[in-house]
Amino acid sequence: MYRRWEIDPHVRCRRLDDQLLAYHSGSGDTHLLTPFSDAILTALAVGPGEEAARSLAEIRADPGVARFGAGDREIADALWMLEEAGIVRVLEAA
Amino acid sequence: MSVVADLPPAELRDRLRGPGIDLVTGRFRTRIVSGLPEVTTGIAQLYRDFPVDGPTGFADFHVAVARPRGLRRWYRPQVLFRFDGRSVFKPLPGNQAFPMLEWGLNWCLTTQVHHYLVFHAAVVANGERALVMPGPPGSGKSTLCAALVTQGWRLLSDEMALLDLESGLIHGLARPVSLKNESIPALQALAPDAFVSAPCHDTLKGTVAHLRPPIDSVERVRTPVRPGWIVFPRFVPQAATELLARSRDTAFFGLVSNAFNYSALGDIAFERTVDLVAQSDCHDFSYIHLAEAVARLGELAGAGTRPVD
Repeated sequence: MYRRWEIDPHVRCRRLDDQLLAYHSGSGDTHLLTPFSDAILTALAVGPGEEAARSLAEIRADPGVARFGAGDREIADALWMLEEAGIVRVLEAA
Repeated sequence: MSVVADLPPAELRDRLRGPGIDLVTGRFRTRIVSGLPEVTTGIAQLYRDFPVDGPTGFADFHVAVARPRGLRRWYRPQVLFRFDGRSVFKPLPGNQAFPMLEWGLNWCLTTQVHHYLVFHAAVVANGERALVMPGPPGSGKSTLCAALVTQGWRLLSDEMALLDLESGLIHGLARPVSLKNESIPALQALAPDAFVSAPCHDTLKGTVAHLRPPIDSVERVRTPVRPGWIVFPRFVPQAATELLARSRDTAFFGLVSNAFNYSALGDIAFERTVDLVAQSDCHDFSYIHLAEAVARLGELAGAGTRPVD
């Protein structure tokens, strides 16, 4: 199974000073992200026309994420928590 | 449009008792009917400088303060607040008619107004910038608000900040400022010339009285202001006056927890709250002495603001 992640389309992110806030328009919840989650979301943020979803390897290779020195397990855990909060969603393909 | 002070007392009484008056507070028009002398006196004294006319045309709110039918009209009389003809609170003792009108008007705004993002916060302005003071009941925001407006700050509201969803500006109401218990003599000591209504005792909030808004604030009520500072006040007995910087992320969540309709408005509420915080310097403020508190916030206003890039 090949898994990729993207920011949920119902999420809006805004930065206040050096903190990232994420708002989910479905649940109405607002989250203050940790610096590590912030880096992951920044890695998942894409410009117009770019492919949104990223694999774990692509996320790990992002310079903002790589500076934390985290392994696949830590990144996967953080993605799972972001997924539980509705901030990212996972796409699975065979 | 004439103001309340232009109406002879008998005419104000007769209009309130009959068809009602349209009282204009900022961008809201409230149609008020009441045959109770406490309400007539309260409006004459505390809304003296507010525009009044009608009743004609559209009114945002239709309210009445009246005695109930039956025994309690005469025996230990009570009062009811009616909104669109419907009683929305339990009755209160008859001497609380004017405070009940004020509480009822607050209820109208917090439950019916969703074209603004509404925060439970006092708001005053220094120059063109707003000082927003969010806080739950008892935090001391109304007392601080009253103290500031008697010392030259412009009153927008002692109870709610109305954030324009399009412009991000803050609108005011300039309605009378509610004072409770020890804050009444404290304010009178700070500003002996300010008009404060006769205290109403034994309410659910203790003894309450109202400060008449400065005429300048009433006349400028339709001019909105830009955000400048967000200060979370806390009245702390036996504490020193202390103003501490607060991070913007905790200020954001502090504001959200004091918002009446953040969830109801959705995305736009998130965006506007972030904008509000980003444009403001944020602080926690503990105080006990009003004169010291006013001086400290005056220094803050004089120092300018540090907006986010």
